[in-house]
Amino acid sequence: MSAIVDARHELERWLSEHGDALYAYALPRVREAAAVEDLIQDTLIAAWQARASFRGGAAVRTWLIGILKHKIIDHLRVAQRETTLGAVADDEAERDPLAGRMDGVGHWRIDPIAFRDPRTILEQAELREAMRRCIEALPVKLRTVFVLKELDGLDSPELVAVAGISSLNHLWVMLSRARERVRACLERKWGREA
Amino acid sequence: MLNCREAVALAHAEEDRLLTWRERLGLALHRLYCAPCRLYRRQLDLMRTVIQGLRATPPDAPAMPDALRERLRQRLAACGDDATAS
Repeated sequence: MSAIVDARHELERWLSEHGDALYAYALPRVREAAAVEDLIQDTLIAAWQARASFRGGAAVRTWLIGILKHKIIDHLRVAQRETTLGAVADDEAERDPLAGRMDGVGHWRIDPIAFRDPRTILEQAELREAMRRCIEALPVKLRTVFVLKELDGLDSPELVAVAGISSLNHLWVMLSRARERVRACLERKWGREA
Repeated sequence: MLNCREAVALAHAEEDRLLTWRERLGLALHRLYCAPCRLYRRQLDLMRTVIQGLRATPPDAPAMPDALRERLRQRLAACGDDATAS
């Protein structure tokens, strides 16, 4: 009985002390609110079950975020596989986002629109939020590789394995399409004329 | 000489891998006379900085909504029993 009380007590303490940090970590990486909730719950339970392996060298928060990070990578990998099987959203991801911006000889038809310069702390936070929303709006396949690369720092060979992509070249095409889409989205949200 | 489409492709490649010296030279020459492609590179630079901010979980990141915290608290209370059982 006391073990149950201990578990509840510890889980609640982690939730109140580190819940915000876990939430802030998951938010830019995982789009679905229900998945964020499940991932945080799974992380805390996994941490409780693995508590014997926690040496106390690292801060509890760093340890918890490390567990969450692995859970998120697994989650994205599964989501990626399901999208590939579904193949419904693929058309959107396969479209060249620059097609309408360039003319027939490969010159800009519509020049890039300059971004505003984020001068204050507040503007920097606004720009981060705009970026987060632009990443969130990516087609699932592109979002997954972009998040794993840019936010979780996976290198290209790891990404090819985790996301089940056929080749490095294909990965680079996907990353550049994702990045261009985010850039074009920021033009709309953060461009000088916006 | 590179056209803008090729220069943009290399600007992205630069984010993901090392360019060959020939690619670097071609890109540098193109940017000398192409203002839109210089702007494009500055945009990718700014994006990289902003992404680093997202990666680091900024201090002004949104807090966990109360409703979510409460739901998690209840779910964890229920799971606490299972967690100890296994």
